[in-house]
Amino acid sequence: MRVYVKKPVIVCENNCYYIDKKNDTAVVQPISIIEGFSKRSDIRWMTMEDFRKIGLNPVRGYFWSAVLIYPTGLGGFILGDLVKRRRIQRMYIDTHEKFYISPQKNNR
Amino acid sequence: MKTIFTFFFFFCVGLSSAQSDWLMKPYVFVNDTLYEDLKLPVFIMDSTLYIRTSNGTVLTFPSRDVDYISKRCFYKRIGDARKSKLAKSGNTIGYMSAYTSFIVLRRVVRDYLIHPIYYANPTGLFLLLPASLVFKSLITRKLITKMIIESKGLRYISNNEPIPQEGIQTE
Repeated sequence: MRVYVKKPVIVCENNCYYIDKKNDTAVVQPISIIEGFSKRSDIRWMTMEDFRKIGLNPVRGYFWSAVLIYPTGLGGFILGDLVKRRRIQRMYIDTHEKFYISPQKNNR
Repeated sequence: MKTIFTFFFFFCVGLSSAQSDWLMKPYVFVNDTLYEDLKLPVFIMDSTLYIRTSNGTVLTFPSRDVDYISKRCFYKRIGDARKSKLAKSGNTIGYMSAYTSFIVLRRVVRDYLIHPIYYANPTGLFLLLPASLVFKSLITRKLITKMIIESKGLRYISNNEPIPQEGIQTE
């Protein structure tokens, strides 16, 4: 079966984490049932410690991405990185900490 | 005296190259078995040696079984700091180094076209060196990630197979 996913795909401790494009949900699958990846899936291998770090730290830098978008277009690349980071965060929270409330949301 | 020193120098060069393994393609000895003609990078992570053979297969060995790694492998030990680097995205830094290289090369070419004979201004070239080092590290990072993933039994689906451009194939 083919599953359309959003970039990036995370491989961490014999599990594969991805966001299904169809229903926009974070999914965790054991590696044993996965046959392969397409080359443009942007697969990242990381340790659980790094995954937790990215998953729980707030994503910052939207201001600078907006400021630096002109004239060189650097902001576009920063924004791309931030979007990916946001998705990794979502994957971690949805699969590990279902009832986690981010500090930003808690302050409101 | 000068001639003697010159001969001695060439003798030393010949002797050192004959003794070294720079003339051979990258190879490793594991459990008295020779794996030669390897592709770079060769690295050790979590007490495991990762190599890629010339036909593209990734092999892993416990590092205690490794007898010798040739100098041309330029093998790396991947610790915790490097592991966390693998998790990071390289879009922004890659773009910055590409942009720097483009600016420098454009300037070099333009200066050369204006002053083809008197061109001797290597200032911009100093920026090219860090940019190319960044490129190299990004490519190495990609290759290392690919090798780790392939060592877990997963594979990258080639373009010839009818698979969507962004997608995972599961059972």
